[in-house]
Amino acid sequence: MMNTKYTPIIGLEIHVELKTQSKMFCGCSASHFQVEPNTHTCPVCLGLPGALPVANQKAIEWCQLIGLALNCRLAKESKFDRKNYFYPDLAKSYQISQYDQPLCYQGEVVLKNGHKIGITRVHMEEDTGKSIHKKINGEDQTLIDFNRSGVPLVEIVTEPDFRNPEDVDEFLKTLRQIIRYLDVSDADMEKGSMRLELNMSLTSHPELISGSHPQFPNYKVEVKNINSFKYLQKALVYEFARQAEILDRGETPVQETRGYQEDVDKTISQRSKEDAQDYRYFPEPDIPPMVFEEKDLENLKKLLPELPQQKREKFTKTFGISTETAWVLTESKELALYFEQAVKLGEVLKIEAATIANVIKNKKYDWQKLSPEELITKLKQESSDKVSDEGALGKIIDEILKNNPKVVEDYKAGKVQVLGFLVGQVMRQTQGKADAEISNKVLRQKLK
Amino acid sequence: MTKNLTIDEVKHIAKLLNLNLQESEIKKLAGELSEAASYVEVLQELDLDNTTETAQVTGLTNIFRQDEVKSSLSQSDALKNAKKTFDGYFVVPPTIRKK
Ligand SMILES: [Zn+2]
Repeated sequence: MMNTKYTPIIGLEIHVELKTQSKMFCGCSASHFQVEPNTHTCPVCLGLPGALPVANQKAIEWCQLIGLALNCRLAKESKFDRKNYFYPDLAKSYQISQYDQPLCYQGEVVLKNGHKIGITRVHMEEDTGKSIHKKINGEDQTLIDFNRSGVPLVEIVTEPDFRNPEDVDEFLKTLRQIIRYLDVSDADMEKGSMRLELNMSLTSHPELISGSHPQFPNYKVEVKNINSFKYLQKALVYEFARQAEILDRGETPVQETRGYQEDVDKTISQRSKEDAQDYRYFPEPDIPPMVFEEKDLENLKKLLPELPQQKREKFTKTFGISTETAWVLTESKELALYFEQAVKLGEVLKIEAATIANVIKNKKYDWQKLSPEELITKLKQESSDKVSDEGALGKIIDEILKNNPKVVEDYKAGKVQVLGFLVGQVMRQTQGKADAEISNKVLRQKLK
Repeated sequence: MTKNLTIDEVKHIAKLLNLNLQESEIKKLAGELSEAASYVEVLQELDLDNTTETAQVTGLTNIFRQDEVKSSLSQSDALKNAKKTFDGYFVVPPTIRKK
């Protein structure tokens, strides 16, 4: 996609909505998708005067689990801050977020190609209400639904460590997979429970941005409003070309926020630096700070489920499955658990893990339509149906060789590919029940 | 060290507060705000050498709630004080103009 004159420097900011039962700072239900508007609100999430926010412990724990899964350090001391700005969907005119003491910091994700992506921070905040733009009686109006206001939101910020769009794509898919394994969010872009923003600049001196004192370009463009992984790729391609063209002219792209518009496949300027937001963060006085003891953090680690990477290691080491197959089997937590259960059942009936892995991978059976028990029963049936007795196969093979003297002659003359034909004959004679491997072996012996 | 706020600073503050001010009001406020700010300056006289910095005064930590759903307001109660509503929504001036 990209020319080689410039190297892109890309960082990501990802918001993930947690699927707790209740909101972040009040007891209203956190469900807001296809819910009657403004039915899950209270004085806290409507920003009414005198309301007192109290943090949801589960949300905090889940935020810390995300941090742990991304190899972050967990803060011993953390607090909430107010981020001030005006917008109609922000009931209090400030968002409760975290500024200088995020719950998690300094993490890292290693991609398949070994590239390391630093995680700057993972912090806890609250979602805003939802705006709907509509014409009512010919007049433009904005309608606000506060059901989403105060739903727990985790923000994950990466270092500007991406140098190509492929790594961005893999990282996001890995992140989504980890979050789904943790079972803390649907991480569904379409439903808005996962949202992306990126920042990007280009350099023609990639050597300057590696090493211990990197020198980044003197500008950075943020791109918002990206509604799918596919659009993110398109936004990257568009931004790269746009910035490269400006740099080619000898100019510097403006430091600004742009929005991706999918209908025209372009990014459009939203705000420039002169308009830069001044959020006036200050500590949230209504919520006492959080202090975590070493033992609290140790206990938290015990809550971490097996993550995709650990499952893959287990599958390759314990079950002798190829790395490639292990990736397929860990695509979703459901599939990984299904496979593990099937292996356990298979052990009793002497069906090998590799066999199970292969039928799932090759989609011979649709795992989503069969229970692990049903799958194992089918595999057992198959193996017991199989004619694998060398003596029985030998008799059938003798017959076939007798009836095909020309083929036998060809084989002995060096045309070894006729072996395939002979195996085919064995299969035909046995209605496909012959064990192909054993048939092959017996055939070779007899043709010697 | 009393510092007088400039007109531009007042404009910036007004913008952050979403206030539409007339030029005359801005001039007046520049004076009044500077005065208010200088009043707070008396705090500078305190000797804080032996005081630890803190962002809170209650001394509490780790005040959490369990993840339990409690009853919410009814839709009509939620919308009760709104100037304008439509179909269960709050209505505000348009933030985006549709073509
Ligand atoms: Zn509420």
